[in-house]
Amino acid sequence: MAEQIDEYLRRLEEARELRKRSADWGYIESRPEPLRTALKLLVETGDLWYSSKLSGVPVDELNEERKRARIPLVVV
Amino acid sequence: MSLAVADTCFLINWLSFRRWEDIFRLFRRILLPSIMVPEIRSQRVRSRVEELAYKGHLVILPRADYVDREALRIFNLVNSTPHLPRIDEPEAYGLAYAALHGVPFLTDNASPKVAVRSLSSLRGVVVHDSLDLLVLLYRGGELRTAVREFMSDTSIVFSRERLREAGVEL
Repeated sequence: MAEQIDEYLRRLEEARELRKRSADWGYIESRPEPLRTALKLLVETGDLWYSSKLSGVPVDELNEERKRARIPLVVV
Repeated sequence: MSLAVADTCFLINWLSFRRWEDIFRLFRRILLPSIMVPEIRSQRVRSRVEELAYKGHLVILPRADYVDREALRIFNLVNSTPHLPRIDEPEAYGLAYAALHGVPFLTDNASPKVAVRSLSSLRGVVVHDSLDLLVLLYRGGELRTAVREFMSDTSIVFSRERLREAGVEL
């Protein structure tokens, strides 16, 4: 079990790196609050619902914004 | 397979896929927990959800105490187990319903999948991500095409390891 979890944690870390590399940071910085923070949270966590809940941006609106910000959701 | 319970994020993205209707070749109906419905605000997604409900392809699950209790148990168990990825409230609810009723849970988040592979009390619960569904729906060249289309339509990326596990070479 520990090996499996370690493997997933490694994949999640790679996914985070991919989101950071792929994101259009100029676009993210240009967005008004709370959208800007929501997008940054999404880059860090990859969790659409969590980022939506913490920021107050509706989940489907955030999903459209993350596409414009070129933040991929990574299925690991 | 006839029923599956889905989380909102999965549903929102799957409905952006050009072949979204193919999911009903696998499941007669998709169940969406009512706690997730208020999260759908955009008119485009709402209209599609309403259309699916009207056609009987989507059913809104009423919130139930016995599912809430199991969801809370899963929520506490996963979030208190060291190193397991965090599980959120709606995911815990969907996973609880799947566990109690023996239906697959559809989500693209890692946490439920890791949880069912790691926790003995959740062993046997079926969790499918989008790639699992694409593999169930398509074969060979059509699968490769569908995976590319899905990633393009949804901005969802499948990790190299997930693609390798699923036997998909792009």
